[in-house]
Amino acid sequence: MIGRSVLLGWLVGIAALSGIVVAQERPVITEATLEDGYLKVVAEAPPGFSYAVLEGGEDVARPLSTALISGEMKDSGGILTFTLPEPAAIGFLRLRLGRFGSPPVGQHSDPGRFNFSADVTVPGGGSGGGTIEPGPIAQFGLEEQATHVLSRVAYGPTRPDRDWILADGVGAYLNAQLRPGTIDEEANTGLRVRENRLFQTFEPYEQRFLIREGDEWAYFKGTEAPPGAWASLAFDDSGWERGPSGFGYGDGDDATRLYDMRYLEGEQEGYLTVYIRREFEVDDPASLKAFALQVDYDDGFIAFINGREVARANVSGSRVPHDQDAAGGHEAGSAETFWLDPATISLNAGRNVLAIQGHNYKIDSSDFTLIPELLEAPVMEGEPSIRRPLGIDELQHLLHVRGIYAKRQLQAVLGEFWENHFTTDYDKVVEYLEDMEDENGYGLSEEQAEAEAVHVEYEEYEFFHRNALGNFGDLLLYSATSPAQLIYLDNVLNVKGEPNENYSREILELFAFGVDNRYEQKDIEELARCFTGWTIAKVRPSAFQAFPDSALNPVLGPSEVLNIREGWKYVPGLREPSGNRTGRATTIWAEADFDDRAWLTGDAGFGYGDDDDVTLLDDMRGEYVSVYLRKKFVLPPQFDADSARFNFRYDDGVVVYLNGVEIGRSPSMEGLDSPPRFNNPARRDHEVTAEPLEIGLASFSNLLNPAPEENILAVQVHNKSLSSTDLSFIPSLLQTGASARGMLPIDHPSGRWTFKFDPSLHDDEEKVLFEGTDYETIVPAGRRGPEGLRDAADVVRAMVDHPSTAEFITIKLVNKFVSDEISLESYHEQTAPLALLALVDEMMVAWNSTAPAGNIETVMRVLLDPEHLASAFWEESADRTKIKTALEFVNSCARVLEADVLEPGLGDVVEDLGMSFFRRDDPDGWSEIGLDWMDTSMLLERVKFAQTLGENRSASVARWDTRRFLSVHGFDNPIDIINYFDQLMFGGSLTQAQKNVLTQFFNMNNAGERSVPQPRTSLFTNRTEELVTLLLSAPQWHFQ
Amino acid sequence: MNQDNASWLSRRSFLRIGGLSWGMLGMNLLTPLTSTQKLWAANPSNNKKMLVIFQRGGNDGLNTVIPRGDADYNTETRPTLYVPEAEAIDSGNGFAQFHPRLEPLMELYNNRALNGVDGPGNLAVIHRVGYARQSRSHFDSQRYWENGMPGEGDVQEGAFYRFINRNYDLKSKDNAFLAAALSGSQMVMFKGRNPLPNFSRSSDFAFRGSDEASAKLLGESPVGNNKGSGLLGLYGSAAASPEKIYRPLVYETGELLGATMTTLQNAISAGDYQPTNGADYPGGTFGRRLTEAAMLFKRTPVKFIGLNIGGWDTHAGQGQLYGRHGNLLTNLSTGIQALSRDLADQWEDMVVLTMTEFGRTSAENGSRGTDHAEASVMFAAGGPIKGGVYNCDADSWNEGAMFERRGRYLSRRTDFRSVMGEVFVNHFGESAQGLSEIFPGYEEAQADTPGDFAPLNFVRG
Repeated sequence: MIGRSVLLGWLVGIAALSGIVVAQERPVITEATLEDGYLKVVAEAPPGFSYAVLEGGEDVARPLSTALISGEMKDSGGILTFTLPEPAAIGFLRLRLGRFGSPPVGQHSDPGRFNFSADVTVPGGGSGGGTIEPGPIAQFGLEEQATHVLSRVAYGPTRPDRDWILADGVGAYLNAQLRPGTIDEEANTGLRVRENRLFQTFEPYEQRFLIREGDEWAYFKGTEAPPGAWASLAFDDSGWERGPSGFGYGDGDDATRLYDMRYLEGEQEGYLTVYIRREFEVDDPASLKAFALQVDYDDGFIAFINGREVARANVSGSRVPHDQDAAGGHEAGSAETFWLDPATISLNAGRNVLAIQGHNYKIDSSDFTLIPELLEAPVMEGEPSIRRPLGIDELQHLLHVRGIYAKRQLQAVLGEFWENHFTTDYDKVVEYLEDMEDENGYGLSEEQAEAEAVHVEYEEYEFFHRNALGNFGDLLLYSATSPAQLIYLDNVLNVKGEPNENYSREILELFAFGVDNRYEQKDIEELARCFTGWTIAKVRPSAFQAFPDSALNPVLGPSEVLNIREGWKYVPGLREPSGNRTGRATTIWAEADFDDRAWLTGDAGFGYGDDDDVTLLDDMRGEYVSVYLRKKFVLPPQFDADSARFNFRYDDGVVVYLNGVEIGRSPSMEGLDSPPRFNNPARRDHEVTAEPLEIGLASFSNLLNPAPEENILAVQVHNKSLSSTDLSFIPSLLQTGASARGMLPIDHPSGRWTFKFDPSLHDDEEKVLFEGTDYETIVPAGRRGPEGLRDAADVVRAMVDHPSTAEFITIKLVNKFVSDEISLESYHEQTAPLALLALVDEMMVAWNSTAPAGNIETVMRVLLDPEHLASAFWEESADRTKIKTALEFVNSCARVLEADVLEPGLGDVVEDLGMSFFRRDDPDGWSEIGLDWMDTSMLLERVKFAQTLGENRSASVARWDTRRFLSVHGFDNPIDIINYFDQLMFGGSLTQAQKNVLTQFFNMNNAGERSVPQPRTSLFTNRTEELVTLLLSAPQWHFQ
Repeated sequence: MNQDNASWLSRRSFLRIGGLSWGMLGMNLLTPLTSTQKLWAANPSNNKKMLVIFQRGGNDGLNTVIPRGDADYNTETRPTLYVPEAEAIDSGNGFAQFHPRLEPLMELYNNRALNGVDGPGNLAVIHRVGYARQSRSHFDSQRYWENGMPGEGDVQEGAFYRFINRNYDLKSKDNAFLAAALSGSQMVMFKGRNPLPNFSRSSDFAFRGSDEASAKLLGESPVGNNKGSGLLGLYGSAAASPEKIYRPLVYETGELLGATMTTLQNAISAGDYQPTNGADYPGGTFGRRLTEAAMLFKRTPVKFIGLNIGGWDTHAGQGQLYGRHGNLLTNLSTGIQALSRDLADQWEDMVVLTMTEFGRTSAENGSRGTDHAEASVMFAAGGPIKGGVYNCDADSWNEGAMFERRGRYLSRRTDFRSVMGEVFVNHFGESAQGLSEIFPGYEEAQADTPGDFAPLNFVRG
């Protein structure tokens, strides 16, 4: 209690101080008096603020977490007065003013100025010692503690979890949640069953195409009926037209365009069907385990093998004639897979035929498509099976299944928290995977891209879930090397010479340091260069590595084994280099003993016109079409030819010789003589940025001379024409890393995406980060090959030791679990509530108390304080002051009703409520701040969800068993039902007025008349459901 | 357990404070002894209205209103985006040209007779608007344009909210539908202590189930001895622990939900909305929302509407005449044209104002697009608007302006707060002093960069 005399003395002090404070932006407390059991405080407030908080406490180190008084100011600025009951144990006062926003921001008076602790007598305990008193929430009944804990640490209260706390106590519950491994989840069959429904497991298989898109088929236009046995193997189709697949018109996916198929009034009659045939070979039909037809079609088809129907889509009837239309419209764009059972199909050893009749829906339809592929899908021996979510809906639903049914609730909450923190976007991953192409132009179908995108999103979330209470540094490095993140923030595009800063900006701004928190634009640029060469690869399942091996000992892309760009001899192609102007072309000039001393000397790249040339051939255009080059090189001592290859970037054509023997030429030179003449132009254009020419050395090892003998690489580079605007030639000798052996083609159906480091794309110049700070980091130049991985990996691993990361992450955890009223800015300015400032400081100490730093369990233990129940989590200010996010709202509704959510529909529900996991465009994740989760539109959607759930309007979303609920509890009147939910949902805080409204609602029909239902009638059940809708829509239920 | 009427939260407060419960103290203790007198607008019951359109993503002002007279606008700086002189529309001032896809707006720009006033039409085009220390982050800059406080990213109170709250009594039930955002989440410009309604589609703004069941669920607010019923009975009752953050927000949003639903259902029940006067709104979300805005201006008491048109972040493939940017301009200009026809009866009282968080780099980037920059163009249309081109004529456009900022960005001539302020003062009768409450920091900003606040006089008093 503040002594009266002390207060008077203090006022004198104020008077003395008041002259000092002039024209400031801070509020000033000018008067504080005690009278008749009231404390009256007068302050001067600068204009522009609308929110005031008066804080106090014993001293600044032991503040009361609860404001003495707080609220909005009707007008801004002027003199403020506060009158409040005489508080206990007040040693200082502090006034904070803010503006509308979250947290309220603004200036506060200096707490030190009003600290008169030396003169204050404190009742009980006293300052600076003694026992730690539990916070106010902990001083209430266990039921109310349970409500608080389950609202924050869990997705809201549910009866079994409340009973658990009532039995074991809140401290034991929290300790168990902090060590989720101690909670038996294996026996939680409700969770297991619902999780398993969301996944499929399949045995990895290869795909070998028997017929692929672009292969040549025989085809017959259905202007009349085709010959009788057209689908049989014996049929002679030599009279049919021929063309590559796909067949059709009108939508840009057709290689053989059937322009005459569409009926055009007065111009052409058109036809409804097209018949196509192609033979394929099978060596041993008995060995075929699985094969499939993949058809992209518009609008329907029937497929036959050796004359027997094997698949059809969208065509009805038997013996379907040529003038019958498809049964309905179907758009092409994503091929459908039809699995064929080899046992039921009579396949021949040797020749077989696939024959297909394609049908259009309408003769004047705007398009038609028929793109069939036939493939074998044998199981990959010795590969572990793959488990992946069935689709994105199922993955989104997984968050709800865990949120609603898991006993390890804190893990579920934190798993969602980290998933949202390290957000990625499924749709961007799909788009990227679908756009990928290999050197032959093959890539993933939309269906495959979606399945694999779901898998990488799932793996990411699963890691965050499993390590939700582990080390932050692991989460950060995992995220940096996760395929979903590498794609999402463009690190896959971040390469030497063309850095992409997207990821390096966001790892600082959003994932580790917080916006503008001790880094600068230059650090973003330097860090981006560290990250060059970070990309993705697809590997066979048995080669897939778990974290941290996946990150620290990753799949390696090719690295340069020898610099072959310097020290070339070259000569313009004005004549044959080893003959004369009229002489025959020979390869003498490419041999080892050819005398090239008269040739010019220069370094690659060679060329002109596109700014990539070290040796500029500025006289070439209009004068000569080719240039001849020679390079002597000695292989390194332990050279493995099997894993080495030449890589040539070129414009427009090249022919390559090793020790006088041609080892390869670009497609643009195919069809020309061997060797091509000096004045032959390349046969087509090829830009330097397009696919390079790669020549593996495995099959040429006999040509290679081992060290220390010399080898001669000789190349003739040709332009498309004399007037071409550019020419380029850039050679390198690459070696694939040993751990790249598990790599699969990008379109392999059973590979898994993983992190890959590509040294050939890595910028190995020096980088300097955080220059001039205590954390200045110099990344040395010249880390070559796999070593270059360390440039960024070391920086990422060091980030947990940087104070910015500790601040940013602990504050975000406080926002999630305790209060919105602190931000990075208000922490730095020390304008946040004192209790929250103190909590963050303690959590930062805990952050740095472990090795490695950033152990989340340790930090969360300080926040939750299961031992003393005295942290800010237990203070008044933490109690029901957070607004649930959409996901939290939905999960809490399902939990309180113990509802069943078997079907994967809750992702869509949450999207209606304004939140969509795995599908957010922006990298900042969903807000944890209450203001962003309450407006009229969102509130309406919440009420509509309460209707859907409460009144069992959609079994596919969720349902609860109202009858069973009533009979188990024996409820026969609304008062008991209301009291049951009041205890469970609100800790008994409904007002009598609200209970009256709820009771009246129960006893009212839709006409607004009183109508009391009899127990155990369907009307009673219906009214119970309506009552639950209203309870789930109650204002208190938005708070947690 | 707690059987009495006091809330359990009150009991917690009781522990620490002792003596009295919060409920008895209430917020009224926090009343200043002296305060500035509330400055009412000249006539809050007048019919002045306003529609605000936020072009999210950052519109390329230089390809919208083209500074033809600046030699830096050329095929070197903008190889694929450059709009040739012959393709563009002359503004008539011998310096500025309009992108050809703004053609529908020329009906407004050139119409000298629309409001019986002789002179240019009533479309003002204001170039080079921004603010000092411009942020080039979408999130921050949108926040600043909406909260009217550049540099204050945590403030979630809108400048339009402050203006509305100063001039109208938002606690009054009559003003429950004074301002609304046609948006699935509330626009920051309308956020504040007293919530304002937002919805993405008025026809969907209803509960599930029959009308009777919905009426029962919604219920009635408590009035006097009537304790109320249904949702409004719960949300209209006294909030437990009203001193805690978000309490008033949640309870008042619930009450507002009821008022909004009633207003919208009444408006819809007047029948399918048919635009009038030859108005032909564009398809898509933007056109639909403008149509709804016109319907609401005609059938409800609403005076302020906000809505968004997205897609302006043209980093790649921006397009010259017919690409993405051109299509957006068509969408915007046909929409405003249609609205002006549809609301001809209210046009004398209407101001339509567009804004965007920043302009785009003066030079085209390597992806045939433009990156984030600083100042851009605002449009103002309506009966009270003095039409014409502002800040883009031979007198005001200095040589080198396009690359004056950091060698990359068009320099600013006018602060957005000054533009909004002219609408508040000249159209709505706000006092000049009021601006420093609507835009905290206004006077300091004005003192720092007085030129940015020089009146443009584009709104008739």
